Amino acid sequence: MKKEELFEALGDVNANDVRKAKEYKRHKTPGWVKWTAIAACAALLVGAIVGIPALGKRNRKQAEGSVKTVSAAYPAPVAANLDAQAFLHGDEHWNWWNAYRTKVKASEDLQNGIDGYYAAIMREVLPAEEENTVCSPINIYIAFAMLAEVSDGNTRQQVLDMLGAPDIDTLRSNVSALWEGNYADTPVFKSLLANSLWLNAKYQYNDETLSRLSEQYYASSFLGTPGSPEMDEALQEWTDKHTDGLLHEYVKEMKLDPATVLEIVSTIYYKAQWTELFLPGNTTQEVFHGTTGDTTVDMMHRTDMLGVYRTDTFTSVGLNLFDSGSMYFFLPKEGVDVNALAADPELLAATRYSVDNEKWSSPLVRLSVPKFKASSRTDLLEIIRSLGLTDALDPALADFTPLTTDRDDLYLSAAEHAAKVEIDEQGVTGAAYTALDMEKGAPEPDEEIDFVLDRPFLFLITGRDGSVLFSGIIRNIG
Amino acid sequence: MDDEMIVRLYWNRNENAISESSRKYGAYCTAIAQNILQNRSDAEECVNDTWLRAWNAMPPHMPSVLSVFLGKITRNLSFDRFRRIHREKRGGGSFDVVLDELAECVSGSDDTERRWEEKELKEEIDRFLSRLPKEQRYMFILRYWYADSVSDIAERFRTSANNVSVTLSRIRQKLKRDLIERGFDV
Repeated sequence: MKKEELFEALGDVNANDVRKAKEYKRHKTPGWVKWTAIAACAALLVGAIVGIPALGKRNRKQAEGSVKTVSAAYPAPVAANLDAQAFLHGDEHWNWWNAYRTKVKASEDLQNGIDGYYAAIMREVLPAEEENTVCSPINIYIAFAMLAEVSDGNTRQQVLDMLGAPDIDTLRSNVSALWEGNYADTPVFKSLLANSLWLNAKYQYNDETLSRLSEQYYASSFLGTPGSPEMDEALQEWTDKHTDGLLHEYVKEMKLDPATVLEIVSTIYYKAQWTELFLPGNTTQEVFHGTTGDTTVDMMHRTDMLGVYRTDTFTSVGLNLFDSGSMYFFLPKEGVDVNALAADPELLAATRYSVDNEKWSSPLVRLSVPKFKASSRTDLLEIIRSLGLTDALDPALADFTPLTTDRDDLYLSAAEHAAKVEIDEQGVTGAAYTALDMEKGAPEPDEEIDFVLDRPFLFLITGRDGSVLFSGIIRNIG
Repeated sequence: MDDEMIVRLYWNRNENAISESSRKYGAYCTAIAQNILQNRSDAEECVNDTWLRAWNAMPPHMPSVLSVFLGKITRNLSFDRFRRIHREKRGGGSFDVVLDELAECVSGSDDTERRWEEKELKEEIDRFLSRLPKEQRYMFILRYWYADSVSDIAERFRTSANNVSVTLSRIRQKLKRDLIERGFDV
């Protein structure tokens, strides 16, 4: 039989099914939308480009006690007056979606060029002994892109190299596409990016650079006296606000050194829901075999046909997030160290489906995922040094002339990153819905696998465009 | 106008039947033709021919689902035209990909000694689809009845293109096995 004949034969399938297929839209499944799957955020503090501390005397008393603010204009929330149900069932969701998918497409096309950076940053940040490690590659990318804007010469070149951008124009269009493709603020999905500049009233700044950062990077600027309680308070308040307080344990320790000439703070706040839910009634208490011993955890369960990627070193499964990308879980094969996965060359391949790749399959997966909350703070200075960003760290070599020419001894004195990821099934309403849309009499799949995350694993959260929003290694829970 | 009225217009040989069909189902049929032909003017011609075919088919036909009845005519006309155009040159187009995917389910040989009736085959395909979970069934129909693109299907299902491709490939393998088991030497 020829394929053309099969195509013709298929023309006669049940007319009602043909009609219903075209009318079907998955979002018309009510009842679960108040459920939160993931809340996560990260703040990158590319901090304190400072002069020599001895020269950083505090004067200018008049500036103290006040922080001059210029806020960037962020896109307005979509359908802020609607609740999740009303939003999904009206035209608003489709209108938003149609506009959003065009933006996602533009950002999708440039992901290949950023993969090298994603791989490098995860390889450097994630390995550890006992603590959980979490980071947001896209957040670090955007913060360092801003650093590229305020630097020049070889200092800028090294930032571009680290980010995998051939030149500053490419970097600008990358950031703009990433921003557009990942900024979402609807009643059911939030992915909020924000940037800010913390400036010292003592200095004259290059207006052109500041306006570029404000317009293209949506950076709000704050001018005041670093080291003053007012400015520290403003800094903490801004960061807490843009991370919804999730990082408060770290934010409350944020302080500006009096010698600060510029601090760049970049944030991402992300909240999305699983496309298919875990039923809370299925959650059981089970043992997690962490690196520091066994603990009892809440294990969520679901059985579904899922895309699975298998290599010699890991098995990974991806779960879709509504309107957004996916969360991928990587379980190392027995005997493989979870730290090795951070540098696994196939990590990103497991998030980019290809028909030709035989490592993909879609068995019936009996999935067990522990509820967890994980956060970590990372000092990025040594990490960026090993990624080749050295000039910025050296007062003699660093070139920050696009920022200000008031001083020629500026250098990058601190770079910190904090991130937190949380997954659970809190606040479920409409728990009567089943995760499985299998009807009676569904055929048995030929292969079934267990995918049980009861020992250290790695995860990645991608945006719809494929960008890596968060990644981490969970070694211990509870 | 509701479908019953439009069908009645056809039966009454009222030419408004065509303008009403075109108004209500023009976009629907054009999308199908466009998926197969990938060419605007070819697609438009097939859709115009669709109304004429429908005019000739009703009466005696009394379709239960008018949209699908018209859509199927468009699908057939478009596929005929596709084959005419592609007799010499072939490959490359997005509809070729749809056909190539279907090739995974069949041997590709001209079997003149077919031991089964076409009607039986169609019934078996229907049975096969009815046993699939609803979403998989719809996904399969969107791809192989409407020839919709994988990315469009992914959007409709709020999922990734990966997921759709994996699911479709899975269903194709299953269909092939099913047909062979039931004695269709496809």
